[in-house]
Amino acid sequence: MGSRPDFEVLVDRYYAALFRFALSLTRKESDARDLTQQTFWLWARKGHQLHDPGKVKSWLFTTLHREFLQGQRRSTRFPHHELEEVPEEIPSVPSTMVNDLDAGIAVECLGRIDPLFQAPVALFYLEDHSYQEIADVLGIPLGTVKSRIARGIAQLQKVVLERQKGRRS
Amino acid sequence: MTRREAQEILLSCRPGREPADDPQVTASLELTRTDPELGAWYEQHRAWDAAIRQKMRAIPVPADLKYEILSGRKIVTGPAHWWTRRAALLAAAAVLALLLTLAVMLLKPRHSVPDTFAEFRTNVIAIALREYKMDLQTNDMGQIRTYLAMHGAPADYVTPPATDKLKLVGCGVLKWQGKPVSMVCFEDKGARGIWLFAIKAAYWKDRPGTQPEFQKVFSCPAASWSEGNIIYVLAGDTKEPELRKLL
Repeated sequence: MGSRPDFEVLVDRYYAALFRFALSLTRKESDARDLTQQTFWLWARKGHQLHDPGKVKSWLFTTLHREFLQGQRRSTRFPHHELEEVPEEIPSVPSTMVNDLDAGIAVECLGRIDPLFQAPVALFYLEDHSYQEIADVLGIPLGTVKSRIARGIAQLQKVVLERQKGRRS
Repeated sequence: MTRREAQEILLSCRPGREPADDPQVTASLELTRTDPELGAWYEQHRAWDAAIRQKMRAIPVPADLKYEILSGRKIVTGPAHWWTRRAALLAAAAVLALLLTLAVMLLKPRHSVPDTFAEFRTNVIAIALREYKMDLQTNDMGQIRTYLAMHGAPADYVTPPATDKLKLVGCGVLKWQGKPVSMVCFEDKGARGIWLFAIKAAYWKDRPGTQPEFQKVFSCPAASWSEGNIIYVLAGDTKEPELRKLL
């Protein structure tokens, strides 16, 4: 067990990754900024309660995700729609199609998949989180993390394909 | 293993960094070598993965964000969004609570969410799916019962016999219309979550009978039944035939 990291070092190490994760959840830059700041503000207040410095990264991502969910809960009820299974035919997306996207459109496409899959897919692509870290951040079992990533990626591929088809027609 | 099953397994892996100790992944990768169509799909998927990963990591970060965090500027001057307006919200909430107390005394308003079994079932499954957090992580049912009892939630529930084949992982206490709900958490062989919810409530008109009734809630199969003064819901991130085997 090491010592507690310096606040500035911690900000330097994680603020960009946290902002990108926040943007993938909120899709609004101003909201993502505030959520990132709120996360560090909570760290400044409560971070001392964390005894294992090895879990700082997980604490920050978990806190950001929890703050996001709390805000969501205040404003919406749970949507009563069916979650999509992995499509019958898993699409094959040429990488050239992805090369046509910019980062903003990639986030927009991510925002069009089921909200349940957005966070696992974002953590899967944005950072080198292990499956166990993603499970810890989201508070879901390991097997569920894997199935949500698979379903989310299949949905994301479908969204990208449809978007590109729409542009051509 | 079918081509589709292999695709589903490979979708959840980082291409080039597939876990070597997972036999299902190993079998899927083997299939990409013997099935040309699957092999071609996987090649394309690898390219997709690299491209989308690169795009996501290229999301620009505002240049002044680090400075703002370190200076605490927005935090001090008063944030503009719901998750940072805590002080103002608390003050407003205190005034509102006072007014509401008076209103409740005069009007006795009804809950906005109908207090029915169907709503209860949807709500607890939604919580498990979207915000799944265990309050206690343990594989000891005795500890779980003690914890639930200490928090006023039903602890004298009867677990379906075949759930002893699952891995017990912990529990949580949820609330429904102010009443405590026990959530006992299991994992199946694929480490997928299975949840047993138990609530003491006898007044619902649509309460389930003593024989399990099956429904699909969101993407989850769910079985519901009553036994004694407890109403049960067993649901999971699994398929209905698998859930039926547990009852």
